[in-house]
Amino acid sequence: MGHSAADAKRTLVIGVGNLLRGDDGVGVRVAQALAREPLPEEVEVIDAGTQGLDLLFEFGDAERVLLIDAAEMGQTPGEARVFDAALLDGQAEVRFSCLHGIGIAEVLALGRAAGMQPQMTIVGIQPVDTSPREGLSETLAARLSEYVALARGELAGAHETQGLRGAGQGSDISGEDSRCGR
Amino acid sequence: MAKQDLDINIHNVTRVEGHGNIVVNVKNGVLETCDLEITESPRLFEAMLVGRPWQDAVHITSRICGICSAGHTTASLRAMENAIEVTPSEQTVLLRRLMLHGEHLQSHYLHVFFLAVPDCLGVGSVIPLAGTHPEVVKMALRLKRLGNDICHTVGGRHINPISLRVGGFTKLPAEDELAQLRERLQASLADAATTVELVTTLKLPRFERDMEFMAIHEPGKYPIYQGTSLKGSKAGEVDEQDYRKLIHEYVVLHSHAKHCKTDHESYMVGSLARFNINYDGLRTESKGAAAAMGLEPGCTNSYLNNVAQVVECVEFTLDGIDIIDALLERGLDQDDVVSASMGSVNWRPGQGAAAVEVPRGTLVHDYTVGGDGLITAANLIIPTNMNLNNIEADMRKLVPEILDKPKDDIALALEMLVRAYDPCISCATHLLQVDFVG
Repeated sequence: MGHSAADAKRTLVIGVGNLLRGDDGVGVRVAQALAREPLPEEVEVIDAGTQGLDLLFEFGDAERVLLIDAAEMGQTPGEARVFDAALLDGQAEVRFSCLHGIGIAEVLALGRAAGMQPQMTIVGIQPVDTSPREGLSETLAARLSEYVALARGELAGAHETQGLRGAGQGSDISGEDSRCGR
Repeated sequence: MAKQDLDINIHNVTRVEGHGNIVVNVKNGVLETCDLEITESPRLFEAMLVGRPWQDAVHITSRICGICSAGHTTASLRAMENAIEVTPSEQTVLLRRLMLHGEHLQSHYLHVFFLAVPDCLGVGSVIPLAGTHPEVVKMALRLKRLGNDICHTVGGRHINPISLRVGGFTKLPAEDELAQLRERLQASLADAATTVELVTTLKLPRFERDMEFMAIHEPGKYPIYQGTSLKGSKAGEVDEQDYRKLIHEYVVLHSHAKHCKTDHESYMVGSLARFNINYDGLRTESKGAAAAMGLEPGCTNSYLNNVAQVVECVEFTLDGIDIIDALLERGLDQDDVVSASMGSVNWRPGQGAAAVEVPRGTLVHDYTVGGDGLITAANLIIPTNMNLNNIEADMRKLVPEILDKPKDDIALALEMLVRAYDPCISCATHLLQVDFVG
């Protein structure tokens, strides 16, 4: 799943996360599964792993990005939600602390502020456990095909992008999970 | 009126790489504690290398840090080649130097814009800056990307290069790829000039302390890949193989990272140290940039390490262009490659060390390889380790000087001081040889 700036596609599907931190890697797993299926010509799938700032370079000239990641949304573990990235505005406490702590929330906030972010939809998946270990939890592993189908549906425009219901009442999209690898 | 008592405990200093706390305690006007506690977990790389085949060293050590992976790769290869007596070709050396420049550029620009500049503009991070100065942030990202792409083109990947081996490359870039990089480097000089101009508008804190500086050295040059000596501004020069005559590592109780000193004192490495030691080797344009930003050789204000980094961005952009010109004029010899397994490399057991200048300062790798090809000993001295002692010495001088300021101002001054060194704490916590006694 390489990505070349010269092959500008209209839609990018980007899976992010750390495969060495349990359910944090679900975004990457979904992207990998999606890449094995036939996709429309204008779609490209990227495994962005634990990239931080460099994620902004992946957007290129894409018109639209579908970002898939584990996310703390106050939902039942295993549940997925689809929402516009604009929902993150002002929600997450953007810490920008150390270089290896630049998570998705920080990167997207920077991208938005600098006008570098195309229209973006996020598929957030509530993790069970993101402590250091390999492999997804049983809960998420069992629902992987469901998440892939959800992403495919988004690409086909079958779902209306919806705001997260109950936002501001305990659903904290901190996007905490994507750490830069060393 | 000077404060009588002061307790500052900054947990997890922000906008540095890695985790460390600043602890300052003043009691009855007397500075009792002035520590930079490194809380990042020990990484155990030196121990990890023992018993591994010599071919593995470059792959393992490049993983010490994602930001500094090209630097560790370079030091590892040079040290191993010194140990087992392998000499790379001139083409290989030129390409390695180019990649190292790529790392310096992406690291320095990242540090200046994302970590240091927000302080000078009174904002907590680069994100408000992106709102008020979007063109500046876009420029910073553009410059960082060029550094990434240089590493990618030469090494096959911008983090943890994959085509570099003892003795050479497994795969070479194409000449038109190098030509494109040259064009982008040339174009980036305009951005470098904008960066210089921006820095001239920033107010950096005043601070002076007579201190030792250290860097690799070659008369009339500004070396980063290899010098003719390792030089302390006061301690003198040694061959890089004899680095232990200049550098003494030791463990401290309040930090997971070792400290370093010369025979007498702490010392500084990094851009300001290189600037001071090798000023004569800088190009005219780089000296001009320094003058424009008010940086003069012999500067002992640690905060101006940020400014020295910008001078180096100018210098390394120009040197990168010259390196590519040299490579293209020679024509790339696509047969000058090694196999991934390095099976055809003629080697012999031995011990060797190398000192390389990476973004944060002098990096030393030292390996011993036995007759069976396995590593029997490894020593890695990281520039941030070298700077930790110096940072604390700076803090010990700074705190009494600013004791009459509000506590928040003192805390900020200390954080900015640590940030000026651009510490890479993940790299620094690589030790550990533990002897349990009793």
